[in-house]
Amino acid sequence: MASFAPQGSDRLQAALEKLGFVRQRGSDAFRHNGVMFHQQQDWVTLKSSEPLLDVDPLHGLLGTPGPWKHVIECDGSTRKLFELPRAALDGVIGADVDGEAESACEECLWWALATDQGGIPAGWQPPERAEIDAWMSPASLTIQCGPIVRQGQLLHGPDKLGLRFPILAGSPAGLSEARRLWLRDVLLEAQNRWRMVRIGLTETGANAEIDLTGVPQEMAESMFKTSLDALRWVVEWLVLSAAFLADPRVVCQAWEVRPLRAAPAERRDTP
Amino acid sequence: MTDRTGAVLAPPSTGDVMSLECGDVTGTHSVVASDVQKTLPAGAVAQALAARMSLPQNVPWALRDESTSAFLEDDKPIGEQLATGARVTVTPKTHLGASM
Repeated sequence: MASFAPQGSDRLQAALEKLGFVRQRGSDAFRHNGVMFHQQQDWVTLKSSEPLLDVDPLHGLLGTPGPWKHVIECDGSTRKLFELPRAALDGVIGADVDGEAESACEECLWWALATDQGGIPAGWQPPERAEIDAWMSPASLTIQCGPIVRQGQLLHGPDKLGLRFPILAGSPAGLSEARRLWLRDVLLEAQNRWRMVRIGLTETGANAEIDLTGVPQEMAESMFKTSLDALRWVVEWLVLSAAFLADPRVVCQAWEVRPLRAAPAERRDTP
Repeated sequence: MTDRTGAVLAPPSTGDVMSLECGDVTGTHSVVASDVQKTLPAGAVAQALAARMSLPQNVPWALRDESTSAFLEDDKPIGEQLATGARVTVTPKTHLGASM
């Protein structure tokens, strides 16, 4: 716990223990009901302690509460991951008023635990719309990358807070199986590489989103602004490549060779 | 490997999309932009269409509705200013203002 100031570290540790997290021997990690808490240089993370089986990292989480996403580890296993910028947590701890920092830490952790199960912390309400509008300019939901332009959406409702940007239109028709795998690899790469942002493939297309449903009030502004910046970065990083790959009018023989990462799964199915 | 005859400008992820026929002021370039999100500001669409037609990106562009000759308002959603299938011209924003 050396990465936080000593007082902040104590409060975070107290909050972790109060919620049932147990420190792992010889490490800074804590564990609770299959969820591991880690600290990194600028982030704190909660991650499923065991690999998830039969999970498609690009399906199933879009629209669910909390910024959980699936990532593929170096060993090829899939895990569920929740990432929190340490600056946001530091802000909560640093703004300790009347000794409430510990409970604020608890709220952050409880947010992660509740949304891991698909729920929302009891009594949570999103910030007022006017307050959110003050956190961003209207133009910040529009991203133009050369010939591609995307309009993001603020998802705001009684039990919803999030940001979503479309990446692709529909399920690209007319693409070969190999090319679909290339496209999938590009989307997976974006989800694995960049913090917080999850990518979802649906019948209506591919979307990038960060869901902040359940975010504690004390860190809502900080998390919202960070999320918007993160999404803009990822969309700009991803959208040209994805749109190019998904455009059936563009022909490239190299794209008709299956990507290496997808090949082993197919081979396992071959008798 | 490249394609310049058409444009998939934005995705119809929520079904609320439109198509546009676009040309530049010289009539040299034209593209059909399908699946343009109606919520996009017209100014952003103009810049993207200009890029699609390989027009310089260091110039501010506007859209002019060919049926009325009216310039679209940059900040307003394009779906509130045009019907699907509309023909527009990508026009550089120029003026004759003297320097102060």
